[in-house]
Amino acid sequence: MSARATRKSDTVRDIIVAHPFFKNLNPHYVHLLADCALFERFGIGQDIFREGQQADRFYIIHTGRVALETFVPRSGPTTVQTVEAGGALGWSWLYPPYAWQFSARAVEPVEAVAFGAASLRENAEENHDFGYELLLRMGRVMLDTLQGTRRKLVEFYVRDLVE
Amino acid sequence: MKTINESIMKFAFFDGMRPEHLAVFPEGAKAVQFKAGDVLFRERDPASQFYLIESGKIALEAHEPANGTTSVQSLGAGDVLGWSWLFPPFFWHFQARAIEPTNAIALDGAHLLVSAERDHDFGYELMKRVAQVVIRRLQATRKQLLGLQIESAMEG
Repeated sequence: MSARATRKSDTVRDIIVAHPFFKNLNPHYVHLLADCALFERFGIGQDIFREGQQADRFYIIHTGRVALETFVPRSGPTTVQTVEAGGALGWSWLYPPYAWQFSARAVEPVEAVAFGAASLRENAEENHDFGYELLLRMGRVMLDTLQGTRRKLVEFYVRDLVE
Repeated sequence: MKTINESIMKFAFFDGMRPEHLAVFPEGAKAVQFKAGDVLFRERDPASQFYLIESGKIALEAHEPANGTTSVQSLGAGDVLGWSWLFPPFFWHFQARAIEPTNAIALDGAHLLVSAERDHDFGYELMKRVAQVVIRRLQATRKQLLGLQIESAMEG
């Protein structure tokens, strides 16, 4: 393995260990995460994923900011939630049909760690201690998106009432 | 207790769950009735219960002094409601109100969370099911957003 590759994998591991999403995670599971992790960068405006595409990754955001959007006929792409450094992104990989429900776009330069979804699912099924730790954290992320989307719905209702 | 036990098992939420995991749910469970207009919980109240709706209709609402009350979702027989007891900050994000006379079973969230922490096999099963329901709610909410936009466009 080259020195460069080693340094890169150390960086990914360091980001995982320090990331709030994995706070209080049993250290024993860090290797399960690091083994299927990649460091990724996205420029401003760049798509991280698009609604309808295959959902095969899970992301933790190291730096930058991401807008989670859905397309609506009259308003165009509408942000339902923003995810900042320290946040986590994407849960459509958890269940079939494994297709993204929203689109994610970098609104600031983003550094993230991407995990292979198939590995996460397999490890969770094999080891329920890990699975519980992961799903408890994912549930929180999903609930944040649900609340954000409902807030957006309320905003639209109120706006339409005013109009 | 037997009646509650049987009622709980009818919910699709529990399909395929192992008996030892199913046995966790009835502890602390209560049959509850709501009249039309009754509030089950208010936004920012401490979240401690997981509701299984047996009959009737519940509206999930956002209540804002400036704009009044806006319904974001309605739930009926066979639906489950409420998981804010699973995650910090452990309070409700929306208000739930009966819009028809409703029979439900209120499960003890604290007991479920403690059981999940103690037995991760149980916790994993519980979280898998909760996550699936949350995903369905998200899909429903997104469709509502889409439908609302189309309605508005047609009205305009």
